[in-house]
Amino acid sequence: MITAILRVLSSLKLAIFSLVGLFIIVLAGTLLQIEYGLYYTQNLVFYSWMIWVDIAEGIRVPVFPGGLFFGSLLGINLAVVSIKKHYFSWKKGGILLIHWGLVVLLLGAVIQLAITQESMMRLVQNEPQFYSESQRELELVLIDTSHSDTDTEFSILFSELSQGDTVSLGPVDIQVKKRAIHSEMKPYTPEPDHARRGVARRWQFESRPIPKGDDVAYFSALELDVFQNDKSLGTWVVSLEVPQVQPLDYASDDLLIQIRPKRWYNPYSLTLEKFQNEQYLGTTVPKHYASTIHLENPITQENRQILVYMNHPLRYLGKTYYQASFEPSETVSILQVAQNPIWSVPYIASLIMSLGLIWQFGVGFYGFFKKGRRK
Amino acid sequence: MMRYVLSVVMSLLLFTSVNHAEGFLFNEAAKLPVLHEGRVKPIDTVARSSVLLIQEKQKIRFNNQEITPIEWLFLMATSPQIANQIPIFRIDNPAVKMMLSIDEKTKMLSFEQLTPHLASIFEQADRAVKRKQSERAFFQTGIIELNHKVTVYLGLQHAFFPPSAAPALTQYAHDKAQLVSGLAIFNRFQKGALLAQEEQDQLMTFNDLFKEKQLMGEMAQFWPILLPEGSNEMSWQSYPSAMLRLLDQQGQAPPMLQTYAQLLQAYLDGQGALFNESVANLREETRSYTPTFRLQLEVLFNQVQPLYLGILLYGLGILLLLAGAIGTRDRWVSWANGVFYSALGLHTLALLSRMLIQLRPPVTNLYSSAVFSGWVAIVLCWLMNRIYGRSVGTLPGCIIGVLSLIIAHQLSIGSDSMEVMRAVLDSNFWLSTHVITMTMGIGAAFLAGILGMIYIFKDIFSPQGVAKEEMRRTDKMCYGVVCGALLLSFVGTVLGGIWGDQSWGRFWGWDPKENGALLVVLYNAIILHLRLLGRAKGRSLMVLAVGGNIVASFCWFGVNMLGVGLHSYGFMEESFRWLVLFWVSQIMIMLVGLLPSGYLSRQG
Repeated sequence: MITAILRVLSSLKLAIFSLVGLFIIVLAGTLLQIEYGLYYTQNLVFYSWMIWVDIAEGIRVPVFPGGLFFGSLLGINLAVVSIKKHYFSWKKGGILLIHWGLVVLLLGAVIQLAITQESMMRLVQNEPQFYSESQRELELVLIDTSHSDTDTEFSILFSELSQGDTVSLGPVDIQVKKRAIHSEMKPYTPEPDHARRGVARRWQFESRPIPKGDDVAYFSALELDVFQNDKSLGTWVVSLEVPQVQPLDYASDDLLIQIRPKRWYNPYSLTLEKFQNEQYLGTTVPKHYASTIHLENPITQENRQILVYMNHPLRYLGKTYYQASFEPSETVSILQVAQNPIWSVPYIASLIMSLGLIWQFGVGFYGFFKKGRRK
Repeated sequence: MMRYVLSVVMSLLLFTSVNHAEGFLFNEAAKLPVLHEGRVKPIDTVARSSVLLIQEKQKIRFNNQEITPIEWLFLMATSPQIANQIPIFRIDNPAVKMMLSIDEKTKMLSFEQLTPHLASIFEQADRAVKRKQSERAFFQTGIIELNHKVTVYLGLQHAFFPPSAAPALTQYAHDKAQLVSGLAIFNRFQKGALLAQEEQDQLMTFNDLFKEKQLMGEMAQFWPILLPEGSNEMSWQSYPSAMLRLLDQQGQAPPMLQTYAQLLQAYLDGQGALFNESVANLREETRSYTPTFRLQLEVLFNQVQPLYLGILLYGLGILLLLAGAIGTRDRWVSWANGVFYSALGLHTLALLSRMLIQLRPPVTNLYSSAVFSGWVAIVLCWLMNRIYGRSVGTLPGCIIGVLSLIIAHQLSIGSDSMEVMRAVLDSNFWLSTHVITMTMGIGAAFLAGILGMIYIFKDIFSPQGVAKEEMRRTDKMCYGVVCGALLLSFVGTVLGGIWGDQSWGRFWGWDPKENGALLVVLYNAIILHLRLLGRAKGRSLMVLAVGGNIVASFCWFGVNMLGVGLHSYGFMEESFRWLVLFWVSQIMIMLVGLLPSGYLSRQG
């Protein structure tokens, strides 16, 4: 039984099957980007076991296995083949290395998918920046400003909240009355309701269908009932369309509530000293752009200047900062931040595969020469 | 062999570089360095790429006379009334034709004919650019194109003086005097002095002139003035902006201003000697900056057009081979080989000179990738000839030569093919590793496809099919090329991942271009594993290899046309139609490839 399974798993046919599957997936995923944008397509096609499509309201059908399915199949196939005995020969060692390298690459890609965090850091000239923000994920945050030297933040991911949930957020409990991934603010017209506080006094939101494409902004929104010690504080509306903080209690201003992009705080600060943007003379083609950044870390007593520019990122304490963009005023530079503890895996995989290639070619040339001599 | 190649090349060089204008050394004027689209280049390149953009071909005919691009440029600067009558604007878009109220058959219009419509062209184009590329109507893409042509045309015409100006020297002296005296009055006015009526008028003129120069400085297509103290790209200025330097240099103008005015005047007056002297002076005044050798090489490159000649030679090779297939074999074939090798020599020289001119690796944009991937495939064909000692590689080599260079020629319309590199691409290291290996992989994939195509046709049309020995040989060659394509595209893709990690922070991001490269890798890997399984041999390998053409062209062009992702260069509708046509033809050849050997010859 086991041998039979192993035989199937290590068969060449399975390899071809998964290669063809991947080919179709990659092609489909490329073409679908035209309509749906990169992010949506990525999750639908590449990072899924099965591609599901809504054919009608609430009815989903599986259409085709996803990228994870074929990728894993190929990975298993490669792994089983590479421990098979007949490959352990001097002549086939190169091929073995190439396949091992591929296994490492695929495995690394899957792990990376699970653990990498990507965010953006907006640097305003001469203002120290302590955090980076997610481009996709949102959080509901409660900021406690009652201590004079530090603020305390309590947050929960927007995606973890659903209608009807009650969660505790620091000193308060929150009940989600209404939740929308995309919404539009509308005036709240009924009789004034004293339970509605802050933005909610005059505004409410209506759900809208989720827009497709990459460059569109979502206005996610929540309507919340807030309780402190089982006593209701009222109803709040938080929306990205009106993103400012709202005090829970007007008298003290101690507790603030807000919905915002998820933040990651650093124990150090980065300050933009200068942003350079050179263009080719007489054109609008960018030639070079670079951020001169000051790094200050009170823990390690570091205090130094760094230049980040295209193809030259800053790697610091497990995070990598890339020059991504800037705002037209040229006093704001935008860095992409990647926290990827295994960023070196693709490099290792490439190294293994290169060795395999060199080996294989070496063997090939050796054989060629020997043949030539014999003649 | 080498001597043969050299002699052919040299004779071609001599034949084409003879200049036929009397008195005026346009050939020397062509080498004047100017800054254009961020790069210092000979003015000849500016003239040619602009004419190619506006007219979509390089030769200008007017009143049964042929005008070279550089002469046209002088005509534009000195006699706008004449230049505006030349029908140089090529218009293909039927909707745009309708708007200009011209009939279907008219293709070329002069600026004079366009003038009454200028306002509406600008207005419509302004509206069109505000829409997303993918949402633009057919008419709107056409109007944007026409608007671009008009802008370039006007920018050339306003490079020195406005079209309404007096002859250059007079206008220069007048402007200079106006600016100097105007500034004096302006300074007095600022200090609170009362101005006489006449002085007030003068101040108004000064103000208008100042604004005019500023505006023209923005419009000017190329910047010919090198400031005397300068020695890098930042010290180039447009002619009108350089005029304004009179104001903060106490009336001291850069001497080149006067010399250029002299040059234009001499052209207008038909004084050849003076013209040539001015050119020599200008060359002298820019000597501190200019890498003379590279400028001369570029002008030579422009005049010889080695890649255009390459198309003709490769085409001639195909004709000779066809003749050889019908008539007495050996002689025709050895001639075809000779032509093939000289074409390859020319192709190689062209690649090398482009690298020298730009100081860049051979692939910097789509255009050069066509030239280079073709070259790689052709070199492989040449190697086949060496290995098998026959002319097996000549036919595929010539076919690839013609196709890749025609594609390159089409891509060169619309811009200088040696454009400057965007910040993210500005890395000779990655250009010469990732881009080169990837382009070589694509070239190899196409070669396999062409080999497959030739084999399929031969096998179907000849009565007994292809002979066993030839079949085995082609099978081996094609498989070897597929392996090469897999190796190169795989290495190229991994290198691309590393570059991506370095500049964007991720090894892989499912960008269409990355996916395209992966598709080429996957496709070739599929063929390779099918072969291990005992399939993909002989005819079925050939059919799969032809399919590789579709995959490779999708990776190479198709993904750029999707209009999404980091590598998109804009949606090219016209080219997209050709691409689809190519795919259809390849699918048809694959279907034909499923027919049994000798099928068509038996039918006929």
